[in-house]
Amino acid sequence: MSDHNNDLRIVVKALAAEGARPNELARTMLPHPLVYQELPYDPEFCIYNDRLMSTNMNNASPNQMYWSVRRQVMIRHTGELPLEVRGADA
Amino acid sequence: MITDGILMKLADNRFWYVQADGDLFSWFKAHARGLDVEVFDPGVWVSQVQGPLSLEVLTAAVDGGHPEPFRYFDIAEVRIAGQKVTLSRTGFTNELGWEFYLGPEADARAVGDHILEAGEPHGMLLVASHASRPRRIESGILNPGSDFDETVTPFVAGLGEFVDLEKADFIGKSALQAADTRRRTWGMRVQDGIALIGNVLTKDGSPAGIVCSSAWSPFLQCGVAIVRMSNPDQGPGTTLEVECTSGDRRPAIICETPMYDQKREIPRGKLVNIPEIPDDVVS
Repeated sequence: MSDHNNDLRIVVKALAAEGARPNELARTMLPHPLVYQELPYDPEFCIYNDRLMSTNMNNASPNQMYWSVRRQVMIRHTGELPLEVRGADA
Repeated sequence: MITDGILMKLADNRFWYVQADGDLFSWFKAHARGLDVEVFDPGVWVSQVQGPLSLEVLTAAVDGGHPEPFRYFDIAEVRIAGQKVTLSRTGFTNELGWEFYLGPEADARAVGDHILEAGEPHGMLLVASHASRPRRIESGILNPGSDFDETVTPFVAGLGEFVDLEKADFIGKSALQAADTRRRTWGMRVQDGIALIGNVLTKDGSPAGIVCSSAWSPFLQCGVAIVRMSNPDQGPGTTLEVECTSGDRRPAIICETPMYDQKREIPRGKLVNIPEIPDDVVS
C-alpha cells in the first residue's frame, strides 16, 4: 500500500439491505451463519477466504477480550475455510 | 508457503483441510490431476471456543456431554441442539479450546443459540479476531499473509523442523535444499508501546527488519510482535528500536516464542494457570 494510504483504516460494515438492489459482487464476502450474534455490537469485518470475519466489536474492550481468553472463555466466528478431498485416492 | 491449517481425517477416503487465508483450492486441484478424488468447498463454517473454561462449555453444549475420546487435536462428530456438528480440539490462541464446524445441513441458529446459552454461566464472551491477536503472538502462532507468504521459506519462518529433506521428491524440495536454513522470524517485546507494522525496526540507526504482526499484551505488560529480521544472526536477545503507534520510537528486544508456556502445556490441558489481572490494568 502506498504511503498516502497509511492514515486510512479500511473495514467492511454490515448495512440493512431493505430497498437495496441486488449486488452479485457481494459473493466475495459471505457472512458466517452466526453473524446475527455479532450484528448487535456494530462489528467491523475483514475479508478472509472470500468470507467476512469480524475484526472489532463494541461489546468489550480489547483488554476484556484478552482476559476472557486467558481467564474464562470466549467464542469467535472465523473465516477459516474447510476444503474437502474425497475419493479412493484421497 | 501458501497458507497453513489443520488436516482432519473424517474417514479413510475423506479429509477436510481447514485452511487459513490463501488460495489452497487451486493447489489441491492441481495435485488431484490423474487421481480418483473430488476437491470441493463443502460449505462448512468454523467457530472457536477458547479459554480455560472452554471444556465446561463443551460438556454443557453437546447433547450427551463431553465426547470421549477428545484429546488435543482429536476430532469428534456430535450433536448440539439435535444438529450434527463436527468438533476439533484445536484453536488459534494456545489456550485450552475447541472449534465447531457448521455444515449446510445444520440449523446454525439452533446450534449457535445453544452454545451461547451453554457458555453464559461461565461468562463466555463473544469476541472479534483482534481478541486472539496478542495471545497468538505471545504463543508464536503465525498468521498467513502477514507473518509469512509465498516469499518466505519454512526455514525463515522458524518452521524448519517440519521440513523433511530425506523424503522422496516433493514440489519445492530442490528449492529448499538450496535455501538458507537460518531462521529470521522471531517474537519481539516492546517496552511501553505497540509497534507499527512494516519497515519500522532499526538497529543502531540502520534498518533491521520488518514487524509482521503487533499487539499489546495485557499479561506481559508490553508490546508483543512477530518480526522478520534482515540479518539471521540477529536473533533472541538482540536489542532494537521500533516505531510505535504513539508516534515515537521505543526500545525492543527479540525473543523466542512461545513467550511463556514453552512446552505448550496450556492448550493440552496439562497446565491450568489462570493469571491474575495486574492492579494497574484497566480490565
